Amino acid sequence: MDTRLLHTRLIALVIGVVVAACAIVGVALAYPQQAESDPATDYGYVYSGVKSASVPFVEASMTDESLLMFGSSEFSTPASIVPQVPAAVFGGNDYGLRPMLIGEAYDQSLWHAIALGAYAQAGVPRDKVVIIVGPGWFVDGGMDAETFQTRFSYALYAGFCANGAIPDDVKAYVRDRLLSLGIDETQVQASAGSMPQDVLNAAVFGAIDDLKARQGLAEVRSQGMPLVDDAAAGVPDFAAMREQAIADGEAMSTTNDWGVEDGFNTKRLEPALADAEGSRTDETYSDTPEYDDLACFLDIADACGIEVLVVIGPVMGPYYDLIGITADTREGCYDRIRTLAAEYANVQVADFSDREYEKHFLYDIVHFGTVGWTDVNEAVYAFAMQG
Amino acid sequence: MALGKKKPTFKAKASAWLASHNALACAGVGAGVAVALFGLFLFVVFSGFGSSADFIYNQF
Repeated sequence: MDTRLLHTRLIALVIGVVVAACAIVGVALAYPQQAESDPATDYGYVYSGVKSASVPFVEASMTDESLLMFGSSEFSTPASIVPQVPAAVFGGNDYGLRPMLIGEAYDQSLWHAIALGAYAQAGVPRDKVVIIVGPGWFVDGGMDAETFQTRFSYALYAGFCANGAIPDDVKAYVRDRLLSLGIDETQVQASAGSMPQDVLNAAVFGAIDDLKARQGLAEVRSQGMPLVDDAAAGVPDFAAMREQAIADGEAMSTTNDWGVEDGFNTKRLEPALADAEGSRTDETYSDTPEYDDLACFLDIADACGIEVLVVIGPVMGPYYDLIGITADTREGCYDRIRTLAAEYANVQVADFSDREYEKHFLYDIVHFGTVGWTDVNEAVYAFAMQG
Repeated sequence: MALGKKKPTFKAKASAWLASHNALACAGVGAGVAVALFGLFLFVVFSGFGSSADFIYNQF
């Protein structure tokens, strides 16, 4: 081909690249920045992985009264089923405490450790956090790699790596765990590496992650609730709330002896009972890296000067007896969590493991019910308001 | 046996046509690159490919 033709087509190619770049910038500008948050709206109770992984949005949405609460699927319980969830109690009244729920189903200790590192880098209100754990996180074999890969957030890991207060051995532990769970080494290296290609990869991964977050946050912003600002609300009356919780629990559980919500019993529990008996006798709650991951979370809190309340949630005793995970096995799990927490001066425990057989503490077999959330709310409130 | 004139291949004919319509060829190259890059961008960012599903926790 003649040189003149080659040059003109090369110029056309460059123009094509420039046009595409302009279109991409145009699309990017169409979405608000992650840090854009309406101060009159409370986004703390929006159950969203996008929200949980967006440090700029969460930081912009918090006030001095906020408290980061790390957890998982229990945050998905709607107030329409359990009227005592934090959104109804603390979101519907101004008690001087505004929980910011971080995490969704299958976000466990490792994910939360990374998230805590990222949030601690940006700033944690009250220098306190809560984490809700339960035996479900500690099943033998740990979380499978495929599930974790879908939960991994590049942005959170980048924030975690940027936190200079986290000791190198803790960072090395997290890095090894990520690689063992099949997270792409290029992404892991981009967050922590210093080679030119790492810097370039970090820019690309960061830009893509930022745009995805900005796109996803549009839905989060639509789900916020009006911020209740009423200084007259005073102190919550948990005794009265508990009485109401028992009444609500009895009203929602009229067709079964388990004490679970009727809809859950009919649609989920009864169909599962046929194959349930003795189906999990081999579970030990011991063969898992989850305890080390939880220790990693507590190490990060310790290094960053953050106080932690570990809320230990129970499972439903009668059902777990039926499937063959004995009370001793369950107690072994609870005890390891308690023992681990006791190793840290900055960690308190709200232990509800002795409530496995109490009706209405759970509304299904693992998630807090009317009484459960009332007692968790009281423990969280007391922890937040200390000193 | 008389040797006939060799028929030009499709590739040769296409090259000749593009050379004589260079403006059109350049527009095609530019548009093709722009569409490909922008399409790749839209796929990566908005397709949801590889992103997490809305998990329902299996408590059983």
